[in-house]
Amino acid sequence: MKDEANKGTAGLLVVEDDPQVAQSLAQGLSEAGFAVSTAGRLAAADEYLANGATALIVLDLNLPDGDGRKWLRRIRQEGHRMPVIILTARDTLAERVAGLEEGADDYLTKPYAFAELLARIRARLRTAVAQSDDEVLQIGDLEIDRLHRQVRRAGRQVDLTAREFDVLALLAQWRGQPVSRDLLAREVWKVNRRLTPLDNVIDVHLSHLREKIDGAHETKRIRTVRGVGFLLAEEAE
Amino acid sequence: MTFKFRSRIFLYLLLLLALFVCSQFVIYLGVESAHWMANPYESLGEGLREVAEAMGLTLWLVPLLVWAAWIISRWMVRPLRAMAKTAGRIRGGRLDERIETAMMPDDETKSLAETVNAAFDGYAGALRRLERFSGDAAHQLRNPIAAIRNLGEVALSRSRTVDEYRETLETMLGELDRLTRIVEQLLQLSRLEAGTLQRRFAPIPLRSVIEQVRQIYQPLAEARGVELAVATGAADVRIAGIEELLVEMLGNLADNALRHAPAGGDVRIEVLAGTGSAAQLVVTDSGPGIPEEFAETIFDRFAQGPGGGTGAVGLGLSLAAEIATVHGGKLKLANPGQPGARFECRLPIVQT
Repeated sequence: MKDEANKGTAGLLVVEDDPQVAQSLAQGLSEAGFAVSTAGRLAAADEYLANGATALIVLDLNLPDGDGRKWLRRIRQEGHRMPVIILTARDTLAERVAGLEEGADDYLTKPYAFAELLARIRARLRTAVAQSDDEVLQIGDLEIDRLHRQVRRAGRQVDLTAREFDVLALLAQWRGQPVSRDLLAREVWKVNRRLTPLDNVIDVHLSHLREKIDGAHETKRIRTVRGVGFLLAEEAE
Repeated sequence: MTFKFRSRIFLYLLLLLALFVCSQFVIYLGVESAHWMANPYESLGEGLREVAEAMGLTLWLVPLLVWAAWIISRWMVRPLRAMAKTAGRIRGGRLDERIETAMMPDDETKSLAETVNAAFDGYAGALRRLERFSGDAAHQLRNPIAAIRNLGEVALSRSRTVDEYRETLETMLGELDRLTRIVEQLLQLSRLEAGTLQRRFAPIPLRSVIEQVRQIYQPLAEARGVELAVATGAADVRIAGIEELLVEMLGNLADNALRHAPAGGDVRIEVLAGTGSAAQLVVTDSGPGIPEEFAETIFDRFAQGPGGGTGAVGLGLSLAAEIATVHGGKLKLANPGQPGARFECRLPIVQT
């Protein structure tokens, strides 16, 4: 039954043959407000594409009835232009480059943080947090000027180091959603934290940020989501 | 037609013997003819008979010489046979056997035997490390898996508050993170060992690597009350390599040093002008140092240093050492048994 392409409104199509993974993705993405359909085989995915509008495809590469990359090349030739995010356990650089050359827009290696997949889907659909391209982000009484790299809380200037600012800007970009340590490490420090030990460094920056941003204020904006990452809260708790 | 090595030696010896007998005959004959030419009145027949007698004596000796050749040929191949036999036993799984070299004459066969022994030493060591590694890997992967399983089972054993479930899930994710990291590091180690990364090598300024690492770890050092001192006097060299790997290597060394330096202590990263075409990258901490009994295994996978409880899985130094090797260099602990561990990494530089 899982091979049947479940119909939905113009939404996300998850092409993934592992039922557990497919189900957890579908649940997570639905809860995040997307209409999600799943296909366990490429044939089912084809059927789905033929029958309805699809805003974005999340594609696993190893499928029982074929290679996801060949399928991707074919649907690109057929004229399907929606963004495609590849999820795979194969993670050599060559694989990555090949995937992107076949027409994928993004590439996530398993195991990935769900928050990160969500962030990338939103980025691709441009429904990410409103005005995230703005130079000045306003989150409650917190104002982040990305052009001049200045931060004000309740009108008062907060002095941050360059890295602290980068961390805060990333949290602000994904405000309201947890940002994983992996993403922080990659975006701010440009290293893979699974290979270069960085957790203590991240903790130091977060504790400094908390002190400088939240220290004197009732509303704590920077929160830890244990096991997941950190988030910048839009609303007071 | 093929001859065994021993038959070949035997045939050579026989050939030599035949040559010797023939030349002896020709020489005797020549001497007698010369004598006859000088004294034409004497009978030639007398001289020829003398030659025949001498040759007859020689021919009596031939069987003895052939027998000696047979013995000598056997004696010459004996070390080779012994080597083949021992090698066969080692191949059959008796990894501790070695070719007996004590009785061998100090010649090429002995040096061959010693070379073969050394190669077996190397393989046996690698195999033992591999065995220990797979055991450790399984063990290290089991720990987080067991933790995740237990957490789930305990959480479901009775009904709990939402907060308790939340806490369980958070801890599970933390354990999964640990698991993910181990898997990623093991994958990276096998990628490094595959030896295909050299294709992506480019000249990397060593100073830029050090600068990146300093910037990453400076705030951590400050928070720990440790002085991170960087001396890049001789750092204006370039290394043929991959920048992210070099940062990874130095990052792991810096992180290791920062974990062991006490508050108020220091960690130093310096570049010394190495000998010839190499630069010497040195990372020193003011911690207790690494006892000699750990020095041997400190770069092994899942190695735990003294105390062990610093929270590291034990792959960081393996990764660093492997990255150094991939770059044609060598990472070593310079001062086992002394306070203040000093890691030295020799890296070949790109000549300009």
